[in-house]
Amino acid sequence: MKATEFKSVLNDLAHLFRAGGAGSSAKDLDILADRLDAADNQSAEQSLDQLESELQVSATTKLTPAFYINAFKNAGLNEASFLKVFSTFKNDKSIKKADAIEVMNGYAGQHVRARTKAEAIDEIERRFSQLVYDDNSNRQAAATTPW
Amino acid sequence: MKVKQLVAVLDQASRLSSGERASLLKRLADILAKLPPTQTVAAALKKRG
Repeated sequence: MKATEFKSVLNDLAHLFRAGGAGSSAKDLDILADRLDAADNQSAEQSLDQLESELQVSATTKLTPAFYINAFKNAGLNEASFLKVFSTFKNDKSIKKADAIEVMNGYAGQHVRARTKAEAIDEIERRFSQLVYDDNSNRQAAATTPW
Repeated sequence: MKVKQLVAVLDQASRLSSGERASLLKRLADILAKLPPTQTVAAALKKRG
């Protein structure tokens, strides 16, 4: 199911509450529907993964490298999802150089050399661009007829 | 509305639904169940940063 369809399900529930006179409950369901990101034909599952990550970001003061590795992997090739996690990661003051390098290696799936936190952050961004580039290349190659 | 009430609503909606819709509603209820139950939905879902 697409995220937009799932948002409609929540909006339909809100309509039911509104029709039953429970306006404030309807408003809360609308707030919940608004929090679900439905960009780029995202699936409802991806949208829920993203919401879960965001709510964990909100509820936790210090995020572990493992959390970020998972969040980056869950973002897959979705640029909007990646940028949300990347922005949180980049601005997370609790992440030290060793943590950043651990996240970078975990995301890349191999040991990559980085001397500073900034280099590790740049490498994560570069890795995402590489994944998107490879995916596009593979699609083009698959669409090309050999002769 | 408090978070726990919204979780109950979504749980109930999940039981009344079927298939993928039911599992998505259940998943959403499970995600929200991790939030402080007595907090209001608006406060719990407010975007930070």
